[in-house]
Amino acid sequence: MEREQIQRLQSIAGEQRIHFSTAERLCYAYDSSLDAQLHQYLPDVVFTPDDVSEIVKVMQFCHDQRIPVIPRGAGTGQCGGAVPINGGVVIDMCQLNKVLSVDTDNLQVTVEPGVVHADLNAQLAGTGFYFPPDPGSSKMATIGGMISYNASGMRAAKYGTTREYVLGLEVVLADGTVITTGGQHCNALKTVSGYDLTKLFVGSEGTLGIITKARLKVMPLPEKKGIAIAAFAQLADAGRAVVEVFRQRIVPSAIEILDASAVTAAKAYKPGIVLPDAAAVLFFEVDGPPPAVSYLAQRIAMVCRDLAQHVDWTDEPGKVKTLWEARSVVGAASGRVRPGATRVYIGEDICVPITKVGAALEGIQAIGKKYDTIIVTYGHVADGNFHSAPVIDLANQEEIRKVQQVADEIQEMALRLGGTVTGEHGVGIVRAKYMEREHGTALAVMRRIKQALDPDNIINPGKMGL
Amino acid sequence: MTSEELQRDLERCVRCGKCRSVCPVFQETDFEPTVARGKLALLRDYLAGLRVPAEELAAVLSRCLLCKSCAAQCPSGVHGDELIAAGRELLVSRRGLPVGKKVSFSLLQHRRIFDFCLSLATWGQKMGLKRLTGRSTAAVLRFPMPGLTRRRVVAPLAARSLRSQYPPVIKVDQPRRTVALFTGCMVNYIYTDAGRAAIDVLTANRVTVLLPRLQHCCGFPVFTSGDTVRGQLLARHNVQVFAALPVDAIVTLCGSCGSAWRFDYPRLLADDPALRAVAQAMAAKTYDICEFLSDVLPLDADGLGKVDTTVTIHDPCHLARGMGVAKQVRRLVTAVPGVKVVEMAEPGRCCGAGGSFSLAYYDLAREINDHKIADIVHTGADTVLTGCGSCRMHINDGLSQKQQPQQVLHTVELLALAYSAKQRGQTTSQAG
Repeated sequence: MEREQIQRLQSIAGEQRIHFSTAERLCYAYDSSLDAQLHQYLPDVVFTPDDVSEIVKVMQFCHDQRIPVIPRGAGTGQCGGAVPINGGVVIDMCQLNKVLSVDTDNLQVTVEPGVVHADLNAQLAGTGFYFPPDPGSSKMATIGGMISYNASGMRAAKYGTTREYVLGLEVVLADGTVITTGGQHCNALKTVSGYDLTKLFVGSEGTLGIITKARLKVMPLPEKKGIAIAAFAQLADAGRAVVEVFRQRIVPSAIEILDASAVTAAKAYKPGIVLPDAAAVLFFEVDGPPPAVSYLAQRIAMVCRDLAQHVDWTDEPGKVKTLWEARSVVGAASGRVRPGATRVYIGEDICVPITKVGAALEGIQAIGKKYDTIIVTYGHVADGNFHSAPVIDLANQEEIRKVQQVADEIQEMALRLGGTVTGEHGVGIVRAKYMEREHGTALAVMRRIKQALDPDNIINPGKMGL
Repeated sequence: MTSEELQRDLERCVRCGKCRSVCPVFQETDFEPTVARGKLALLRDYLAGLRVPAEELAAVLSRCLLCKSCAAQCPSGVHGDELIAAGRELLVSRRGLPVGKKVSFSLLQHRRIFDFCLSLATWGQKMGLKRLTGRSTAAVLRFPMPGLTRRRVVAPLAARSLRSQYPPVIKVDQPRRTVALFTGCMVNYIYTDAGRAAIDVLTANRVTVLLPRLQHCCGFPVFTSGDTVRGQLLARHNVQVFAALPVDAIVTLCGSCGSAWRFDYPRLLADDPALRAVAQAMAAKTYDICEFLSDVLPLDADGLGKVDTTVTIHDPCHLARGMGVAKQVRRLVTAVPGVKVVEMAEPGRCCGAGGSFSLAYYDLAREINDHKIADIVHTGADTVLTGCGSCRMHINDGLSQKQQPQQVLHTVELLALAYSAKQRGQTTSQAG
């Protein structure tokens, strides 16, 4: 960008909102993906608005000047979605972080996009309601980022993804026009009036407009939670147990899996942990009224008993926490399985049909073996969604080269098994190459939508293979 | 740490961003260059040879409290605070210290000059400081002074330093232990009451206390600003002063001083293997006063009299996350009859002092402190206990700014009150 353009931005948005020192720009040149550790995605300017009107004016200017604009939440994404590939203005949305209204009688809240997920639920805690989607990055992920990538997490099994909870959005379009989706004065919980533009923006990875406000559905907090864990000698049996639980008309609020690599990692990280040695361990969480929780946890234990080598269940809050511990430490533990090495985010989000869970887990380990790379795998098995964590030495170029092949093979395998390369993290830069294969002629429709809303391709350009 | 080692450690940050959820500076600014992830990324770019202007990097690295919150919960085990301090060190080695720090650290380096300057300041503060009524250790500047905001409430220097008030050996009959007391600057020059309390409590527990006259600043503010050379001088001086003493333990009254002895001195003296070995041996017997009275020589609970007070406890970053001393404080405080402890929402949340951080970024330090003050007020306690002079001054300032009546004491002062209450056979009331 030219010096003059930066000065214009300063006069439009205020000097304190426009940052362009090298140091400030470098701090917005990455997200959590390995790709962004290996490449520089440097913006020309960082814009930190605290008011929508500033965004509108900046968008109008950038539209006029054909300057790329990249919206960014907490930068915790793992696909290079919120970094610029050709400079431009990164908009850090984090200072737009107010909960604007809480209306639990009507099961909804309205928030600014920079509100952090855990903060929203902390604010709601006293009301007895909550926003159910639950990404692992809850403590730092913003609602705007969650909407843009249709984030989910463990409890998607029962509660679905972010999409199911977005009732309406305020969006600043490429030319600075502000629209409200879901009805401009509507506070209803559903509407079929018109195209569902709300859902179009959910998961659009910031390529269609800048989300500046969101009306979200909230739900009553479950009264109680219980847990059943089951350890399996065969991966295939773990997959069978998941299918069998659903077949018995039980919908757990979460079903999580640790494979042998994750069991080893968790135990090495915390030797005192309650966790049997097994090819796979499943964690079933159930929630609801107290009698139902006890009943369901016991039922799950019974269902698993024939397939598993070890089964345990509880509805006592203290014990629930102990049993969950192995699952909760595995993210941190995976980085520690090899001293001096680092867990990297690449090929980390495949999703396959439930019946292919065993094959996928075996496939991941075989690929790890082939490339002599440690991979710790865990995930949301009720959706067939896995997070495989390769652990490599980042100072070793050969390992970096190999891990990229590992990721490619894992993602290829997911497609072969009838799955997708990304269950909840997004496409961004790193998975753009799979879009054609995943969507065929539908990709052309996506491109036409992008063209219609952003004809000059200035909003988050170069993402999602568009 | 060599730049290669630093580079390698920086690689371990996978940029998950979890530090955003705990960094007190980031939580006020919502701006990536203020959080550990941003700082470490930038430092890595600098070391990789990208053209990061050194002054920009220095400015970014200076906006850190070194509170260890990021390190305490980093899934990858990255010690953000240590890497940021190592980055500062690297920058100082390449481009020197800023003028202000250069002058003050030069004065600090020489014990006698430092002592002399502070005695001058003690005299000068009669004119320069206006004492606030209702709070014994609170004053504001009458005239503008570089590095201090005028509205900031500071603690005046004591009329006489602690070490000048005692002989070098304070003997007891039939000692159960002999310890060397490392006073630290805040206790020696400002909060002398806390030093007296520590001596009273130790002697009440039949501990002979050595108070080496030649001890000097622990160096924490010096080496964490990147001035390794002067940090090494101070480490060397203190280790040599304490090395010859026939003591069972070195007792510290501040988490930062204690951390310097326990973690930093062996590191700083790595170039001198013999002295390093001495420093390591001393590190192994360095204890915070609360740790000593809880884990090493459990205090004589029968000697504690009744103190009617409701307290809340602020855990200093370097004491709790650094030295791992938090539960020991509770163990001691709950042993005092009459004391009611009401925990604040986040006892370990940084108060925003961060040593010289609150001088350089006072407004930001105040915003961070506001959360702490709100938490304190919410408990309804009349007394705040803490184990760090810097926290104490900053919390005192916050309470004064918000017109709150609570007093702030070192934990050991409460214990001293309890011992003296028993000796006098009466109850001490702290409320009001």
